[in-house]
Amino acid sequence: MPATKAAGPGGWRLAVLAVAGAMMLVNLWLIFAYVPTEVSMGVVQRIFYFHVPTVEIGFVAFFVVFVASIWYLVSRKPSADRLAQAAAEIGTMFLTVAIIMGAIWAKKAWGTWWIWDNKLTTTFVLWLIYAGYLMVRAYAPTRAQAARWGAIIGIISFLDVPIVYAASSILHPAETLTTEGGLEPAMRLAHWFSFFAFGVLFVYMTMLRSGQHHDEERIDELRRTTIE
Amino acid sequence: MSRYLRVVLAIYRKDAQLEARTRETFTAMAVFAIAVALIFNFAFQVNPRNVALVGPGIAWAAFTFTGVIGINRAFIFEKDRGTLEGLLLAPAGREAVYGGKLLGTLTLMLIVEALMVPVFLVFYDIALLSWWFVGTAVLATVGFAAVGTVFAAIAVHTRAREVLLPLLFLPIVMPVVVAAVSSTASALAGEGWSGVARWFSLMVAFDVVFLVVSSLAFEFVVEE
Amino acid sequence: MRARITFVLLAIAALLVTPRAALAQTGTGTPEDGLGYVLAAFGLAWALFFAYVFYLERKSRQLRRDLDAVRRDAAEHQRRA
Repeated sequence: MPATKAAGPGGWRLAVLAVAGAMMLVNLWLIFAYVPTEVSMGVVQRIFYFHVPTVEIGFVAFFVVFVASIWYLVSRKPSADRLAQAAAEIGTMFLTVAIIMGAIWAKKAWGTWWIWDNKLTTTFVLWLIYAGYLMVRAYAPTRAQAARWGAIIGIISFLDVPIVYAASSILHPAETLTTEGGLEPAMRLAHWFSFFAFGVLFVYMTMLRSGQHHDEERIDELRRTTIE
Repeated sequence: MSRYLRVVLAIYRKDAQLEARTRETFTAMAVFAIAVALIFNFAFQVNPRNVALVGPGIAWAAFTFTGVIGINRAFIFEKDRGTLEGLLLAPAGREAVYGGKLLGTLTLMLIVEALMVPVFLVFYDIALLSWWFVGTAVLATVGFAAVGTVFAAIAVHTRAREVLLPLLFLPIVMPVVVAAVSSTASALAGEGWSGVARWFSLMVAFDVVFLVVSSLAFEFVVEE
Repeated sequence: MRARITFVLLAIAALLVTPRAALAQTGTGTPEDGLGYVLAAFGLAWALFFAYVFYLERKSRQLRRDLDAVRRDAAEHQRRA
């Protein structure tokens, strides 16, 4: 089998990785050298530029799962399902890192690891929903069922997230440090650049994971033909 | 009467008759609800001073966990006997099966909740019963059943059905639990409509969205 | 191979830049222990991301090898059939 066949998708992926890496380095420079120190929290506030974008990407990932799930149910294309699963896995990873970073930041800024305000509650519920999604796929007896049920869970869960946010907002109105209240333009730039840097990283990792699922499927298929 | 409605009622009647004969699920749920209330009594060291604070939460924790049991059993009978495929051949389509199972689970849960009202009166000396509570219970339980029926249909096909169902179900119905506890607390405090208005709207929104989405989704769950 | 080199370079760059850049900020009169939290948070984030990407890349390589092996087996099978 000619090696060039593998070079196609691999080449694209490497390009995305390179862009992600470059953006990350610029990102670090922005976070530590460019952005002014925030008055009330000091150095620790810089965690914001990593923590918030990773949470945002976690939510974006879930939106990707939602769209890919609908696409799958409508078209039944395996590539749609692979995208949904990959996005969910990488999204879970991003959310996990985000929650851990948030906890570290919270401990320094507020003295406590966690508070049940509307944003954190919704993020945590989303994390649980992701876990359920991945478990359903893992426990489904056939690949087709895993895809279908995953798609349903993806759609139902996504529609639930705004309602979860609404419920926790009614319960705990306002509050949480929204340092975003007074974001200077430099801070806003750093935040959005970080968001896009993580976005590219997310794209890279999702491509990687999705490619793995594809390879796994092809291996299974070939194995089945050799058994006959 | 439309065919859809006839099939829904037929399935409902079948399940109701089966349950009335054995009373298996109902008994399990009722005993479990009381057991949960008991555990929480000791967990929170409930006394007359804190009962107004923790009472509503305990009630809805009991109803939610008991609900999971009831929902779990919605399809177990058909799945284990292999009659699920036959059921799905029903003339009005899969939506009717969803409707029938939904009604069955809903009825069971409402009966258990009704049963718990005197239990709470005796054990905790809180008078849950009020029109606001009835409204809360109906709205919340419809939400539970709407989402739960779809998840039960998925979970019943897997090896880990007892674990998978709560894992899927509980995060999704979090808004319903929050709304139900808050309304119940508000009703107990005698706040009337102003206390429960937001929560009722939230539950209505939840119910409408998920009744529609779940009945559509059910088709896809039981395909092929 | 190129990917592996890219990784290691990026990891080293990130691990070098972060503490140095963070240290450069302490002159602004912020409390010392804030720095520890920053390093912990960023360090952990980097570590987790790199570990996961490393794991993914390794899995990809493994799968590619398996795929080629199975393809060869299938071709063999075809020839014999």
